[in-house]
Amino acid sequence: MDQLNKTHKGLVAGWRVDIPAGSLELQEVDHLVLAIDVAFPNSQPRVFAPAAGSDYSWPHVEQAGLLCLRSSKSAAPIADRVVTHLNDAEELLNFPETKRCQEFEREFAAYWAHRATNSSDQARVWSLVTPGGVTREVAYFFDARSNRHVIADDKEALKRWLRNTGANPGDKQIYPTWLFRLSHPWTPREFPETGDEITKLLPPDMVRKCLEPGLQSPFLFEVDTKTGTAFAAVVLQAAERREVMRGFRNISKVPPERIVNSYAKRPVKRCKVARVDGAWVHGRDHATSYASVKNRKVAVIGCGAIGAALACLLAQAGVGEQILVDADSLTTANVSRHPLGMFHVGFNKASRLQEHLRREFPHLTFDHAYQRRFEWLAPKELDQLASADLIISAGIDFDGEAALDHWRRGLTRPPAHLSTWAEAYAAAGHAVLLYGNASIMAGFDGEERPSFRLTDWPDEAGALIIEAGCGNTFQPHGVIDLHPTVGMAAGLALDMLLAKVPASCRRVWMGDPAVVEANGGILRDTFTDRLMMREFVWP
Amino acid sequence: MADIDCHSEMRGFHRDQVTLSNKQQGEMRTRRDAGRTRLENGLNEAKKPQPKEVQSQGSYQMRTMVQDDDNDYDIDDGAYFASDDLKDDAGVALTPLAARQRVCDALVWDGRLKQEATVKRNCVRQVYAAGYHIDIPVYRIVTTKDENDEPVEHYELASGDDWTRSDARAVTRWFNGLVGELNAGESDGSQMRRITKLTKKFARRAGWKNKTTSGICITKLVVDHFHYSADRDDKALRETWNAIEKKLQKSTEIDHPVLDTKLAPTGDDAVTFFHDCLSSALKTLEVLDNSDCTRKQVREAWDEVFDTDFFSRQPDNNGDDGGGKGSAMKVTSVETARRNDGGGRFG
Repeated sequence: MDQLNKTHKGLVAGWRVDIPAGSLELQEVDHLVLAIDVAFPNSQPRVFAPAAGSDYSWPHVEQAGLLCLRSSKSAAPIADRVVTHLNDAEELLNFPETKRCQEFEREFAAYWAHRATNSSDQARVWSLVTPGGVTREVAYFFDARSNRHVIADDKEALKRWLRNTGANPGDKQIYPTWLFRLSHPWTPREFPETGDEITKLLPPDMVRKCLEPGLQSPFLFEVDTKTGTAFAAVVLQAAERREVMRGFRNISKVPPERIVNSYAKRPVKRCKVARVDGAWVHGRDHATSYASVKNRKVAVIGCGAIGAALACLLAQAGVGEQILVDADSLTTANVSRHPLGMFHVGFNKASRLQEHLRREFPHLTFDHAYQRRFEWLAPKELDQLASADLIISAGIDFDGEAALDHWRRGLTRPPAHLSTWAEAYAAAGHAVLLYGNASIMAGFDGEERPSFRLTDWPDEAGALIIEAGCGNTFQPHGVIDLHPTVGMAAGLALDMLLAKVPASCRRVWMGDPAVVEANGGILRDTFTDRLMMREFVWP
Repeated sequence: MADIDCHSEMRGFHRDQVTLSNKQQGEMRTRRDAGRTRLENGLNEAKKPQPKEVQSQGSYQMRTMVQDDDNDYDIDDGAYFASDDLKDDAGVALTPLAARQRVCDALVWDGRLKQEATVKRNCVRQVYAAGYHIDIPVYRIVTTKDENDEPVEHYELASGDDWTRSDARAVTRWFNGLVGELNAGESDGSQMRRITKLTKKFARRAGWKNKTTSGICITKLVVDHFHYSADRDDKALRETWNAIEKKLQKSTEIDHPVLDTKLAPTGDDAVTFFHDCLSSALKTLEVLDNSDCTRKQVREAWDEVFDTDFFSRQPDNNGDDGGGKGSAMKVTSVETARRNDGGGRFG
């Protein structure tokens, strides 16, 4: 037990279970150790096969011979659980050769991570490459700030991604390298150990391009496993540049064989790969909606609490491109319900949101942020808006809404328009989706208020608070009050982008009527539900 | 023919007046689950075996349940027992009536509900004060051998004094399978479900629902004669009804969807009543074929058919009749003065 406790802390008791020598497929194992920790029976009993070693030569055998077994249900009788674990251990240690290979191949990425040279959790290689390709040349940049290699399909894609993260490398800082498409996942015993195992796989014409003495050269491996595409990487390091160049004035004169030999017996660094391509970021290769929204463009007019939150959600959903429009600057009083915090106070909401989203989602496009009201946009900027699939106006005033409506309906092929806002205290929220030349003005009355509003506020006294020492009015609701409206509007936007909404419509969030009544508001007859979203045909 | 598109009105009617709201569905689910818990607790209390499975059936499970003004809903929730578990203390197999009685006793054991469960011919019924009821048909699972000597399970319903071979889940599978197939192809499978619900809603207006045919008969007729129409539920509904009407002119006999029996025999009174109502409705809808028909007339016709004023109450969306609200203001300049209270709109 003391021996086991060196690698696995907290074990408090153990039992030795002898096994007739040679009775298992893994013949070295002549006994198991069943151990429990202090939390047992509210934890899993653990089974060790100390003779199985820690070299990953057998699947699911980890440090000190700990067997990685299925969990048993804590509620089951203890004796049953122990028997289950011992039976599973026996089954595991009896895996025939083919089954062992299958297990290693199925969990290739996990074993690669276990055997990574630097086992810390931080991946040293980030991959932006599009999965599913062939063996080919790719491009990489070494980001010294984060001590990380970033690899992409080509130089342009890499530069664009890096620019969004705040790095701005020159062409000379981006190097070619090679992506190997493996025919099957390696088992741990096939994992490369030395440089020559990689260099011998390189096409001759890539030797000079990819191997640069003095630099660390990353190489990417892509392979299909039973559960999807997996990536792995190695970093090669040659001897010192001056050593390789000894006797030559210029590296270009050094024979390729000498360069290759300088890597030959040096160990490779095996690295975990963090995928940063869109298909992975937005659903681990399994989000069908990402394929539909990655080429869609959305313009968000009004980057306040609702608009900015919407932009963040749409970015998280993988919408490929967003244009942001707002004339206002962020104030200290905004940060309680705006996605941007104190760091951005005093700066324009649209441009700061653009910067924020670029850094957080560098694979998406946020090329345009207009620091103006919609009414003041230049013709070229309007052309950008007209090319969007969807224009969202979020909490903008009637003038802006009217101007946007007028302009949009004058277009030959108007983009869809989603207008969203919350009523006082965020007790109700609206999202109106309009296609073609449908006009949002059809829903406004002579008082310039939506005829389908759910609340009225006599003399407005209860709904608005005058800011101290200032004529500004503001709404006392908080970010949590706004969330249902934001979620509803984002849902409708996404439904539109995924072609799930066939006709103009409006959705409404009916929040808590008690909030309205408590603050002197009047519920209209149409406020029929509580904490409920509903959809209506438009108008 | 004017062919005025009333799809959006029909979708609105379906959403607001026909289909159950999420809230109603949630309440149904809660009550169904509460009923299951009561059954489980009651059987435990009586130290009787639990059913192997409890499975919703019928319109609830097919998602073709429609709103009812009188809150007159029924949820079918079949209890499937192993044959060996339906025996008395002496080990003698329960009669169909005794099996239903055991389930009924289990439901009433705590006496919490005002109306206690009652044994019906084909089920045990628990009526709730709110108006709806849950029917629990009792089945036993019987294992026999097929021609290859392999064990096969079938299900027998405790019906009257007999165990009758039956499995309502097969009907659910039949319907949901059809909807799934349509969804996989070009047609809109959910349109068939909507048309089924609209037809049930039509047939069950107040004053008709006790005379007209059953939900499963209506579902079978719609499925057999469904006409798909892209983005036009109004058209699909009318064409489907036309096809059903033609079929019923020839015969009111309706085949069971999964068994080799009939849902309704020739001359069935309830089917005949439904046929008469349908013929009359289609006559009303003939106004749609007039070349000068207006949207107003179309809406009035659908109102009459569904015994509602929902269609006429809808705001104009195409402006073909005039009378629409139109724009509240005309934009003359983008540099107008600006209100500072957001017009009651915030963001």
